[in-house]
Amino acid sequence: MGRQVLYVVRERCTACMKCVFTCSLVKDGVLDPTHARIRVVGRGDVALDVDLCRHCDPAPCAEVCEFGAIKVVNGTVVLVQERCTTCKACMSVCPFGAITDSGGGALIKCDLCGGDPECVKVCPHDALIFEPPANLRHRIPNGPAEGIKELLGGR
Amino acid sequence: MRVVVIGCGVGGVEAVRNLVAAGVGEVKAVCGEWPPYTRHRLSEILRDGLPPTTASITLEPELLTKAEFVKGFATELRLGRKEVVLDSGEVLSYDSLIIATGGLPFIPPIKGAGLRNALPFYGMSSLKYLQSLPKGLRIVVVGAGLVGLTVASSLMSRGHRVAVFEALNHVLPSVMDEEPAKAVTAHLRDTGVKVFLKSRVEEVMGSSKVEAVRTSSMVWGSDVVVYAAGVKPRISLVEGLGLEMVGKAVRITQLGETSLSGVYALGDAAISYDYVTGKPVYRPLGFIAAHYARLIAEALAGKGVRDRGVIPTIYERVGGLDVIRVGLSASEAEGLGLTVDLRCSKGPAWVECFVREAGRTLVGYELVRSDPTKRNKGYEVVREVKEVYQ
Repeated sequence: MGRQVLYVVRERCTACMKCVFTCSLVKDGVLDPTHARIRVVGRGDVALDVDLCRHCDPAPCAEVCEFGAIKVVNGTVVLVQERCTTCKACMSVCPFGAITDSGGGALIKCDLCGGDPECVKVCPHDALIFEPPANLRHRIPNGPAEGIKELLGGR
Repeated sequence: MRVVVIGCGVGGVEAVRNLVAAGVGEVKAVCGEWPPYTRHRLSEILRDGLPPTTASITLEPELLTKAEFVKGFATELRLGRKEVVLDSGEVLSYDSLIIATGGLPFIPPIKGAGLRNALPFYGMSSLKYLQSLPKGLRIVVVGAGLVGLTVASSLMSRGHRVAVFEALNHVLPSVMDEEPAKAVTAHLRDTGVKVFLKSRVEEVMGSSKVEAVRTSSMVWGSDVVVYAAGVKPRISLVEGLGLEMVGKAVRITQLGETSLSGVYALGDAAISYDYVTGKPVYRPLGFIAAHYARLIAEALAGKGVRDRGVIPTIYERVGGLDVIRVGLSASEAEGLGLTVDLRCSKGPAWVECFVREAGRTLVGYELVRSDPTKRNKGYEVVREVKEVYQ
């Protein structure tokens, strides 16, 4: 399968929070939004938005990490916990607030669940789509709407 | 090649890690405290009630087998013989030496500074002491830098009554310019922390233990005093050995070598270089130590290395605020000889400032926000500065 891109269709999000709780449960074994790598937020221009790592290319967080704790593996920006000293330099340059402090002495960020994101699987409203770009039109029959956000951009 | 690293803080451990990765011969590190830990986590650990062990630096099994960590303190350097003497009497020989002795907390030279219940917030022992205190104490924090404010917030959240005294006219004087700093002060006051600016503590009062602090204009009752007035290089080991210094810090080249061939220094013991101006600066921050740890290892591995310096990238949580600075503040830029233009704007839950050199190149960004959805534009500084100055 070719490269896949994570899209958020913001207009479809109902803030049901299934993605958030599933993420925290799968990743840290707890039902706690502070442990989720995905957040549902209210933002001025749209009623609801979904924040998570966009796996930028180039990735500012990886660029400034002096500890080699953020790596780009097959296009996915991954935080290597063992190397992270929580200096938070990455947080100072992330435009999307995608790296957070879980409160337990560790920073966390989305790693796309190794290429099969759990948040996408549980979204009941098709607000999260992880597909090759060519498939996008089939998933959104009326064509990409303005509320769509491409998270794995430029790869 | 035999390399000895003196010190096992973030910089020392990163030096070992990079030396091992680069395959630079035999690596030994002298560790005064064990296991190694990182100081910048201490305020969070205090705030969140976490065990002190969460500050420990992870040491991969490979690191423990490929490098030797010697517990003890270096007491003497014999540079001519290329030897390090430890407090145990053991002598380590080296071909290259890395001084990563770190820093020491600055304690103001004032009357009563050494009273019982007055201590710097610096290492593990101070964390454990503050964790052990019963709730409801009156605590004075001396200094409103990042350490002072984070520890003040943490103590507040632990149920103490906290007052911060800062000698200068705004909080975070070495991190932020005045306008965003005002937002931090207002937030702290909203959360119940007393903040006194332009208030230098001149005496810690008490007979056997702390009872109050005195400034030129007031006496403030206190049960505990916490010093957070900055860090100075820990350089007693190298004093008198002929190393060139910048102030009290060891002078290094842009690749980390001191004025003596084969002797390197990094972290809080040494200067670093500012990326924008290329000038030597003293910035005791862990990621800067890590930057030079990598450079030194690459240089010792014979790799052709060039480096211009470090762009500061600072994020800290102060109470309910994100405090972010990337690049230079206007005041630091001016101190480094730049002519800059500072433009700040405000929203209901944020203050954001852009620092431009000569009205053009973005050399600094400051953001204070309580609303996490406010976009952080810090990366624009990294991108622009690298394009212009690389």
